[in-house]
Amino acid sequence: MTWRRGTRGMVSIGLALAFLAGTAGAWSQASLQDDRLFAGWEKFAKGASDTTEVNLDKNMLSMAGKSLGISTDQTEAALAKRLDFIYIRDYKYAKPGQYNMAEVRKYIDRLDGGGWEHMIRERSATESTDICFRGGDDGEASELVIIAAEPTDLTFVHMKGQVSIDELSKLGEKYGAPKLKARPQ
Amino acid sequence: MKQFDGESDIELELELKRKLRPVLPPDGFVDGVMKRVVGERRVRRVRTWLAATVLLGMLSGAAAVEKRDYERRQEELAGRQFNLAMQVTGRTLSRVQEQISQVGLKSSEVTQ
Repeated sequence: MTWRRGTRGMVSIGLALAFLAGTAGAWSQASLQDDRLFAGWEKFAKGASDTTEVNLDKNMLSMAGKSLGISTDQTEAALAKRLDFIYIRDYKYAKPGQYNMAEVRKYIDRLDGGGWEHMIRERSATESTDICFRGGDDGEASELVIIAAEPTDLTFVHMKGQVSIDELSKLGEKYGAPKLKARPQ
Repeated sequence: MKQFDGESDIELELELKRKLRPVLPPDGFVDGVMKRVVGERRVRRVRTWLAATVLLGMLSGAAAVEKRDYERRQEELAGRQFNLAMQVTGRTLSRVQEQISQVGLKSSEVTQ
């Protein structure tokens, strides 16, 4: 009888430990979903001399909001909390021709239709820029995509949430970008 | 010193037999022993559970501290990632604006 009780106690402790371990495991694997719109964009990392990747889902953005709220600007903290996700891939190449522009165009083509509106579509012999919004009213976008392709620089930005052009412009200014103005409707 | 001869040995044996004769335990003796045994088991069980509870409490406490520490690190990482995202976005917008200026468009011609 005693050993049974002892075994039961050990089993209980084991189960409790397993529960704790399971909880910790589940919590440590806060999922970062892949960006479906740009699935496979990792291919552009091949040959890149410098790669910047940002994967922030709602959970991570909420955490960012907390961190930014403590350390810096409340505007950024508020924006972080209003966003659903940010996915960014920024590739820099040592010399031109190290990524396949035809592959980039496949991603750009996905922005034709599907409710996407081109805010900027700029093409030149060596460069291509697309800025698209989807959804939202009164300047509030629900989704924003930027694809900027230059000979030695390729950038994908995909974010979703309550963000206005004005807000992005202001944040851009903070990081050195000139003010973007929307054409009056 | 007392010397034992054969007669004394017999007396000693008889005395031993008399003193070591089987006797019935007093009433309630068995119950008392059983109560004591059960009581000791209960104490051991309580001690085991107490130790287990203390161990679990310590583990839970350690896990809670580690979780908070992990969350703080995640928050800092997320904050840095967010700043990085804004830098890349801002820089890209800046480049776009430059390109637009170069091709002769003004910012007011940007469509929404």
